[in-house]
Amino acid sequence: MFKRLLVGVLLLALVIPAFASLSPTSAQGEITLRWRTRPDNQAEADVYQAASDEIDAAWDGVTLKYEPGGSETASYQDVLITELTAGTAPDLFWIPGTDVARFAKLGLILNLADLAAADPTFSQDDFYPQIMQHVTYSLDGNPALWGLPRDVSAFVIFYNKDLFDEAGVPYPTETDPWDWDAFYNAAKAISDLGEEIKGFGINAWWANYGYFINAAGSSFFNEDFSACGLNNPGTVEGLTFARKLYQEGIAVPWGEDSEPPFLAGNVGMFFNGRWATPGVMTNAKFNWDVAELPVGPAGPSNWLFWGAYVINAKTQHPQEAWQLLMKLTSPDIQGKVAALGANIPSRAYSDQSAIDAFLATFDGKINNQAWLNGLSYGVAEAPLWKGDWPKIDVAYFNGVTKVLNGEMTPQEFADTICQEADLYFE
Amino acid sequence: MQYGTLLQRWATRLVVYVVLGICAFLMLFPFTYMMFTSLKASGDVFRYPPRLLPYSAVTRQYQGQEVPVYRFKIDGKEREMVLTGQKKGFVFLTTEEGVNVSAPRQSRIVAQVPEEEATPTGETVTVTDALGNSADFEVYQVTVEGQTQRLLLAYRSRLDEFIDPDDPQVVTYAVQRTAKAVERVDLQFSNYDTVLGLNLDRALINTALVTLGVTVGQVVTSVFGGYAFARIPFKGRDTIFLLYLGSIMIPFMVLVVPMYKLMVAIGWENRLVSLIVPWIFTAYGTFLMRQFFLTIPKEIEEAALLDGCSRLRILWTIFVPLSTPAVATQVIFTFLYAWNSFLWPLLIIGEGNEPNHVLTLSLIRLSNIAADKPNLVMTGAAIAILPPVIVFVLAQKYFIEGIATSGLKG
Amino acid sequence: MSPMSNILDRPRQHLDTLKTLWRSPSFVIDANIAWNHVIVAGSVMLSLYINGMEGFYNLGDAVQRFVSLAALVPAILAVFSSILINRRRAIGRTLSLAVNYIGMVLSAVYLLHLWGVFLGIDSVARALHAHWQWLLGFAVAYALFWVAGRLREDSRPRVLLEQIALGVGMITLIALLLIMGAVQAVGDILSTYSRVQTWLVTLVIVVFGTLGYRMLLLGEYFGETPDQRTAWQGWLMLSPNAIGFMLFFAGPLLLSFYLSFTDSTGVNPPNFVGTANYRELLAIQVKVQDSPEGDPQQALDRGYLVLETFTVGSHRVVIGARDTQFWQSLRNTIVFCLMLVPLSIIPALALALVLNSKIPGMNFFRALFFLPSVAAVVGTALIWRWLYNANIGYINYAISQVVQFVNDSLGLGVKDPKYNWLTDNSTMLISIVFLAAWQIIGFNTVLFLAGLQGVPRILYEAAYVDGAGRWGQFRHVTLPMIAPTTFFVVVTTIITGLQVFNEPYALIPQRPIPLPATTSVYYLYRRGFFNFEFGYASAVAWLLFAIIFVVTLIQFRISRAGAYD
Repeated sequence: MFKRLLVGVLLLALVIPAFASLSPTSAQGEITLRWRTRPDNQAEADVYQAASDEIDAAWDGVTLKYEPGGSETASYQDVLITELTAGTAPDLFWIPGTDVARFAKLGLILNLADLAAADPTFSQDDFYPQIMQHVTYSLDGNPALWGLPRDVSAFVIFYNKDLFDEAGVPYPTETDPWDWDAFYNAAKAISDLGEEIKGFGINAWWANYGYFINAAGSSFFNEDFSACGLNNPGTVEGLTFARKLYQEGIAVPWGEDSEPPFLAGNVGMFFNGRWATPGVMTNAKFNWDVAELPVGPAGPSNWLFWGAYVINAKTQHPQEAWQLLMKLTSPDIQGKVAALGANIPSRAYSDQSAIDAFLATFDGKINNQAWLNGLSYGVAEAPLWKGDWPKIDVAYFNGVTKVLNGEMTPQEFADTICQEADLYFE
Repeated sequence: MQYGTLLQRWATRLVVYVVLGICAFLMLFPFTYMMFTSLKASGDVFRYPPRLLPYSAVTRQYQGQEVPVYRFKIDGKEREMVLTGQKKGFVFLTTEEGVNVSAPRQSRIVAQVPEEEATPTGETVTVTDALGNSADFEVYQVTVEGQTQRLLLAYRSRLDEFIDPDDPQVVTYAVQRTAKAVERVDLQFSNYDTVLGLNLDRALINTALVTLGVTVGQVVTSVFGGYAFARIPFKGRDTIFLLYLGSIMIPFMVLVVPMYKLMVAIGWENRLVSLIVPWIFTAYGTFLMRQFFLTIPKEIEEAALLDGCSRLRILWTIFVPLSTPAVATQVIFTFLYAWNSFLWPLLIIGEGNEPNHVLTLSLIRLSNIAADKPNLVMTGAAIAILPPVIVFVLAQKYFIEGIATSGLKG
Repeated sequence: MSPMSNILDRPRQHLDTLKTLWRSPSFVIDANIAWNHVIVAGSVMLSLYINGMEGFYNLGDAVQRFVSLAALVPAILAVFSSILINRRRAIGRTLSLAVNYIGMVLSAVYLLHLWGVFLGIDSVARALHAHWQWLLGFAVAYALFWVAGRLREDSRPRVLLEQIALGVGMITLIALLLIMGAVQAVGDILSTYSRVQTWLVTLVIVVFGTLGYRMLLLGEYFGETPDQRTAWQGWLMLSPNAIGFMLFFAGPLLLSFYLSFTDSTGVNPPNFVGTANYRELLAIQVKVQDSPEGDPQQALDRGYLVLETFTVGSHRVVIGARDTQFWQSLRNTIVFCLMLVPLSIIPALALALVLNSKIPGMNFFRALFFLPSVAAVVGTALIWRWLYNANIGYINYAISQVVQFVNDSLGLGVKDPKYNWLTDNSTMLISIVFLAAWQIIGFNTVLFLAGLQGVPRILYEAAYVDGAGRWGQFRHVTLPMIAPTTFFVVVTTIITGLQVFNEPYALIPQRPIPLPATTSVYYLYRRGFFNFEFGYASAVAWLLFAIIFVVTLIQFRISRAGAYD
């Protein structure tokens, strides 16, 4: 009897794991694609949701699920990285341009070259060439395409016309030449208006101090992006000028968010990208406009910011994800997003409709052309394929902070920064 | 007992109250600031010098629109005026004696003249001050009260035009920024509606649910565990206790990634349950209860055991009633811990998954999307901070007693 | 006898035989042994299944092997328990009890999972959100109780009011449950029984439970001693906590310890690298240069960066490290603790001394001072961000008012410092310290109060008789008597300080947080979650643990030594 019991129980034991491994199968038919991009505000999130719904409705066999992710870059990245680690990241997601290299090197994102080659509607020439040069970097000699830019932006100066009037200085657009001297004089005159009034403000991240370095003829990296490029007189000149603004109290203190005081009407000039426009539009209670950045000693300078839609290397549906990528970067969707005012289309060459939609934003009340001018000579933000950008970023940032706070001279910075930064290149 | 007269005693009391009052004011000022700011309108936040009370501008009808009113004193008469939207350029003129070389705006101004009425002579004068600073100043020719004078240009400014709507002949020019706006105290309770509408209502419910779950669960497991550690001798108990103690010291950050993977493996990521169940089993609560149970005399328990009481009964009828302060302490600690936890929800729920947000997450998100509206951020902070404050006020008597008796026996 | 009972006689006899058999120790033992076979089979299956899993959450082969081996532990326990109970050894029974109990608990958890209880919490939240008005019922009930509590004890209105309050609470609860769909929830749970899995797991629980219970009753048969009885009772009491602890923390803890010896990126399977992470972290080089001029970097090997230099006579000592940022973050953390201790303890002691006086209203103040400890750091940090604002914040405003007052009244020319609290390298850390100190002063005050109340009054009187003034009493009586409290407060403050993360994260707006405000925990967070270096980050975490452990050990030693004085 005991033996029979044993056999029966053993059989049962064989059955249990068999059932346990039967995971519930997903619903038949539709493929679900999850995608994510970081909106700057609720209005933008709504537009992406609407775009997602629109694509979804017109697309048989695929269900789209849009997730806004975090609103701030840092928390957006935290969450994305945790999900990539756990294998639960969405099929398609947006990352800042600087992140493309490390994501690709870690094998987190799919090389789209084959999918692109098989798609007759895709042409690389539709996008800004400065960007495509970076996203087609090959790691192993084979053709590569790591993603497509969601949008682009350049810096402009948002300026408070009322403060210019009060200080009795002409607007940047009426100043010729609009160079560093003119910029300094305007900022100084405005900051003389009162204790709480500052001539200009920037936020503390690489692009802001980078402008001063670039405009004086220096550069973050050497020509082939394989080493630190700051060890030269241009860096000294650029940082000396920037430091003067901070040391004389003309600027909002380095590190402090300049946007709130600007919106409160206490800052004359504020560098920022296209993404800041809707916020300024709704919150600024003064007369304002935008203008190009001043021409530096080495000529006009600006950045070409971009972020890329990339495809998760672990996606179950690469083909559909590619199609989604093409739809999201289509002139139609880019035009719709651009019409909101926070984005500039990245598809600059094939179809002017998106660019026209961009130029028409805010009924032309502000100088939208300033961005396009900036983009025309902007240096594209670069994913660093031969170095560890997050570490270099921290090293540069700490050095520059010391310079602007007066703890180090620009000359010392230029002399020593590459010793540390070069450790983080391959 | 004290050695003094009634008067002395009252004087001491007064001093103590005043000192404590000042300390309390300083300690609670951040909360005061939060409450007042949470009731402000957006435009009323960025001012210098700052002020606590919320104000809003008084408006009136002008040419079919509601516009803010400013107060001016013209020819000795107070007038309430409004902006016309026009601007006019002025030159501010000074003399060679009155000029301030390093800060021309602080020069002594002798005349303020519309630009079209002042003629530049084309000459410049170089002025040097006592410190040796020198600068060039343009010379202007103007007619003031019938007299033609040659004066130095201190600075220019384009001023806003104000008009008295009741008396449209009266026009004056000033800078709007520094003009004196007419304001009245006005509490914007609608901020709370706005912020609750930004998903904080859902976050409030979620947080309450999570906190309830964690608190109840943790108290139950801790009471059992604490009793075992304190009163039941068994082999290996002390080793395990040391392990528990050790785990208190490990920075939570160490566990984040492995725990996240575990949650994914069992399908709990993005779910509220991941904020509740793992946190029911903490070493800290067990430790706290153990410390308290150790202080209860052994004799009571031994007598009960001899009477044939089961351990469970002893725990329930003797230990739990005796440890109200300890339980209250743990309830508050756990409540605060669960209510205020931030990093784990940030990673496991994520900012994007709004329906399952807890308050800290929604608050951080709010501080990002409303970076330029500190009044709304303060409203959110108030919503997050007030419930634990209320719970604390309700239970503080037991709580402080509890810390006093159990916290110190480490 | 009625004919009925005759008819039932035979079945009853069968039943009786069955009952006897069921209760006989040998049957219980046989059944347990048989069930142990099932456990062995199940555990082997699970192990094989884990072994065959693909990817295994990017944890690598080593971890996968380990987990699949760990899945065999129940099998081993079951085999031992079979052998030992077969030999009628008491330890066998203990093993068997443990296996059955843990098996039952785990299957019960799994059953709850199958019922959808865990994931259902989300729907509960949704429903509560939709019907939140009903929650006011609880508030009303609480208010009634509160009012009742003010009334005279055992008076009729009080009893009545309490009953009404209870009724309101109960009705609210029932109404809420109904509105939120409790009936449907029960239906949902029943409908999970359309799956074989649910039936099987339920059955498994019953088997585990019955066998365990029967085995429990065999104490006498196995010759259980009272000590053994106490022991399993202790384990049982501990079990809810211990099992949960093992499930959710022990595994992750082991894993993170393993990861600290790998190059884990979190996204690819890790490779074992030995102690490389720790060596990189701790690598330090001390070199002496002949002259204090020139580039100190030249003195160091490649890969090392200057951490600190100082001049001794005509020589210069250069200290370099491979990971200077780690050392700097560690220094920040220690400086943070060193500043936090006096800033949070001296005011707390002073407040406690005042609050300890026998004047009415002290409880009220005590609660007031505690309030900052109650509020969420995320919330308070956002408040302080605005107070610290360099241009429009109250702190700078207050400073400039003071400066102006001093200048006006004394005719001095003191310059208004206009600190950039949150952005200047030199003030960032102290800003965080102020926030943290503000939050824990109230807490420390309560601890000190407890210590003060333990000081015998007679000592003060003796000191008074000896002619000691207030200060003398404080120095010679209060301070020595509360020394253990002070020590405890200092140590807990240090331990909290060493783990500080939320304060800098929520207070400092920049990302990544600049180096001068980077604490150790934030540093490991950045290395892990920014740079994908989870192996390295784990190593930082364990080093930090070692430091905290040493501090705690010292505390234990000293407080224990003090106890026997």
